[in-house]
Amino acid sequence: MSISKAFLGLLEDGPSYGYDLKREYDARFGLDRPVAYGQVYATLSRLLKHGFVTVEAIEPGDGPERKRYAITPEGVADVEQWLGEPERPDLYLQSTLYAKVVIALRSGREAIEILDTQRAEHLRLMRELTRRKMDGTLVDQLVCDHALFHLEADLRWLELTAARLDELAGAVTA
Amino acid sequence: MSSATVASEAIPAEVGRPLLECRVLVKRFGQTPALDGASLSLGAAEIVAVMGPSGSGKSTLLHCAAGILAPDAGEVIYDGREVGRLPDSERSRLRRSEFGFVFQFGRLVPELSCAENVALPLRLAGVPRRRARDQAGEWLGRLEVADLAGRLPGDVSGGQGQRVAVARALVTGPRVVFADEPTGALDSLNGERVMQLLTSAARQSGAAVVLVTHEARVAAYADREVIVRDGRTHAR
Amino acid sequence: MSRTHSRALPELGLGIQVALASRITRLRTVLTAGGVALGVIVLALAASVPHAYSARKAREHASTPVFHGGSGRLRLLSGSTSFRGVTIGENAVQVTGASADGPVPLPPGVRQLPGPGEMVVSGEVLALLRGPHGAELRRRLDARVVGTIGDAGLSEPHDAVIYRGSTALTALGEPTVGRFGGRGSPSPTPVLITLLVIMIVVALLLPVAVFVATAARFGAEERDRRLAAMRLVGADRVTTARVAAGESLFGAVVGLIIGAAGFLAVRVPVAHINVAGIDVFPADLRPSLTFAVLVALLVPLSAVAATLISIRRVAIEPLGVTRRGTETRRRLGWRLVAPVIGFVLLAPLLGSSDRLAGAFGQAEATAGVVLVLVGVTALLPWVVEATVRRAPDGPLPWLLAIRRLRGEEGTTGRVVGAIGLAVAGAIALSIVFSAAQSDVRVRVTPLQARSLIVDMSASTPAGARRELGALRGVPGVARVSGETEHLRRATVVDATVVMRSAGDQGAVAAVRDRAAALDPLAQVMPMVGGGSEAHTLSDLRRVLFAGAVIVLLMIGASLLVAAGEGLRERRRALAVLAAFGTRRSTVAWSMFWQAAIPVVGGLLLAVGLGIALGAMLSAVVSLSPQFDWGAIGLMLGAGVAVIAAVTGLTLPTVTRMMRPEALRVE
Repeated sequence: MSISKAFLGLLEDGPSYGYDLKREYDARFGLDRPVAYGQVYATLSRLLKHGFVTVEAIEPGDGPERKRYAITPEGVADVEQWLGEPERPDLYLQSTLYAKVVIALRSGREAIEILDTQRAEHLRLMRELTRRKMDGTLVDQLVCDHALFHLEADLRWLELTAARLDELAGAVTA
Repeated sequence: MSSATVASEAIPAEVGRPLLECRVLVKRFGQTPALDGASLSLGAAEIVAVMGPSGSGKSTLLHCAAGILAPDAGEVIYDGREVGRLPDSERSRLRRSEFGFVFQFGRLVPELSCAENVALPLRLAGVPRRRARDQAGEWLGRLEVADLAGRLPGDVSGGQGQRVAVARALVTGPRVVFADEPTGALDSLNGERVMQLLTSAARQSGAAVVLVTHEARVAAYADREVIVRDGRTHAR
Repeated sequence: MSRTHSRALPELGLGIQVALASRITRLRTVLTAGGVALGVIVLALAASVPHAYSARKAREHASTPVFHGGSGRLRLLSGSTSFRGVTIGENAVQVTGASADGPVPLPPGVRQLPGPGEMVVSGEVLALLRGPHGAELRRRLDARVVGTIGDAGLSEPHDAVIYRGSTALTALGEPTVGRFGGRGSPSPTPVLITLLVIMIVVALLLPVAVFVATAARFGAEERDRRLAAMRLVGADRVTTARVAAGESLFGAVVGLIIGAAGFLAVRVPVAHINVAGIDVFPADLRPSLTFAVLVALLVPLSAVAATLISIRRVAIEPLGVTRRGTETRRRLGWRLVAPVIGFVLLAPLLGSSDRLAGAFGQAEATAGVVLVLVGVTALLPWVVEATVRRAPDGPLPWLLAIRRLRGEEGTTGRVVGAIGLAVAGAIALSIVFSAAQSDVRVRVTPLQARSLIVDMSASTPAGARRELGALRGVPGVARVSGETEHLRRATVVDATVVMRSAGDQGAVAAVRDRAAALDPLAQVMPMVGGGSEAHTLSDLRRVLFAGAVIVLLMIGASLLVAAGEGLRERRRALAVLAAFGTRRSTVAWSMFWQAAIPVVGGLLLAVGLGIALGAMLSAVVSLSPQFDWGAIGLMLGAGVAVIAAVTGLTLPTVTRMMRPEALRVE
């Protein structure tokens, strides 16, 4: 789960302090594993280095928590690219996908497209596996089938999420 | 992004015009619009999966593409000719000579033997009895159900029946095979077998396949997929 | 156990609910009820015939006078006359003496005996008197109507009877009447009548049974599925049986009620139809009480039994609904028993008419015929199945039809058997009737058709000779020949008057007038009995053919129901055939063959068997068989009509099943 992308997505809504970003992230994506403070500021400084965010204002007082960060046009472009690209079909994919869907919903983008794009990628991989299966030995078939079943499980979740998008939109934009 | 785009990202086996093309089809049943601007493009010897949730209109899309239904609006072009507006007798003739069908529940004629069921499309096309019987036997062999030739459909298992149905679909050497949830009633193993046999036999004889399914593992046997939602298609 | 018994009624009730639940079950219930009603009406009518016959005999018996010497007050002389083809029974009556001498016996239905110049008539005669030629009849009878004869005095509703006052009876020395009521008891119904009735009932009932059986199978697949589902959910066999029984019981009971009401309604017009000379009082058409109770019990019971047998498979293994086993072959052996025995019974009767006259001979003959007919019904299904099994492959519609017929679980065989029975029976009987008819006609010569028989008396032989001469003088008379016989008090003349031309009613009337002038009690009758015998036979033939055609129509209805059911069962396969581009005409032609093969096969076999049976029957009654090609043509025509109707009426269903929309059933 890429924290930097999530932060960028959250910053798209508007500039924010580091502390508020952490709180927002924990609430939306952290589930029961809140992100460490250190990681927050490390991520922010990395993003700063890449030019995806800028410091908009500095409140008087000391410590990094006083900086207010804002997203740059490059940052927005990075988010766009991230949303537009499918992830590699992987075992712990859901959290990233979930983040993508939520961010898309919050920013008013077409969440369904993200799901469609991801499905196409899954299917592409499944086609490859199926072709390998047809020409392979029994062991190949077993291995491919295993992967295929998992990919299918992912896709099922995608379909279900797609069907629930309206509900989800209401929940995340509240 | 956009709604209905027709992009043929097929494996470039066929350069030039597609074998079968549906353009912005509209079809209503009473008040309900089953298709609302759906498109499909199929190249020769290509296998395309049509996916979507139930009620999305994918079966209706297949029926219109196969000439079983006439669309209310839009065009169906087969081999360069517009066929969507032809009278029913013409479309029947087209189906007899060029197309093959596989349905979810086999639907073999219960009082004919398996071999006679497979021979049926040939006889409909006017092939004499003996030759039809021989060709049917050949195809039953290819589908690995030769020993079922004399049995009645009621006496064979689901998986076996579906293989007979696939043999029936391919026996006339059609240019397009339309398969509507062919493995829907089968367990995993039988489903796999049927899909393997269907796709390899289709590729061998150079037939294109339109495969309607809601299962990803079945769609994985195709070259590409077309998504249908609310009567509209989304292709990539 | 008490728990299961207490559930019986609600479960039966559930069955009734189901019987009315969906369109299919309602249709099945209606068809079953209709078939049962028809069967009940036929049975009841047939069972009423013996009683009607004996009732008529009883009435005749009651009106028969018993004579005893000359000490009574009433003298009666019976005769008959013929008026425009209607035979009128004429009873001349003379009352002598005073009430002090004793009572005057009254014939039933007559309140007061007529005096000279008066007459008491039956309703039929009254109608004739009021009719267009009433004046002529009035002139002939020459008496004033003073009363009508009540029903008790008539053996049939349309009996034409008169009692006419006379003064000539004492002079003739007629004996007096002691009482009315005949001697002994009325003769019992002849065995032949009862046995004929049995034959006709068997011939009519079997097709009705076939119809009911076909109707009961309507929607059977759906019912089997429903019962299987119940079993899987936990209902035990008793419960499933009760529900299924409730369904069919409902239809059977409704049919029973409709049949009973129908019988009561039908017997009034039936009684009024003066067909084949059979004329019955409606009230006399009454089956015995035992019969009524028997039918009321047996019909529902057999409906239940039939249902239980047919669901036996499902009740035992509910999951076996989808799989069908290999077809069971029919066995030939037992089917040959009945017809063989039948022919064996008939063979010894060939040509020996005296043996046939005896009661045992009649029983033998009827049993033989019934067995042959029943045997035909049992044999034909096997023949059909054997033929269909060996049938060669042919064009596609033929193939589809043949295979469908093979897999149909016996419906075709039953239908063909019923056709065979009805047609063979009708043809056999028609051959016998034709033979009898031509026999009758052959016996009547043209000379006889022109002759009248005159029966008069005179007081002296010389007077008798004068009367004969007077008859010769009547214009239109060609020849008079006769005998006179002198009895104690009078001379009786028995003359045959030959007219110049047949059918000269004026001349006949003149002879009557002259004879009446010479002797008021003269009787003038045409020699040939109004052709009533031939009329009876041709009427019977007509009734027979009406019955056979109705039976064929009912069989057609069975075929239609079975065909419709078959289409429904195969709707998915038909939809796929449509997807494959099958022409509607291909399926339509297969429906045609599906109807044509059993009907034509059954008809051909039946015609052959009927001709054989008819020839044999004619030989049994020592008549030479006359082949009624008209009848055979009618049967074949009816068969063609049935085929055409079944094919045509199933066409819309075929079209509907093959529509592309039919593929959407998922």
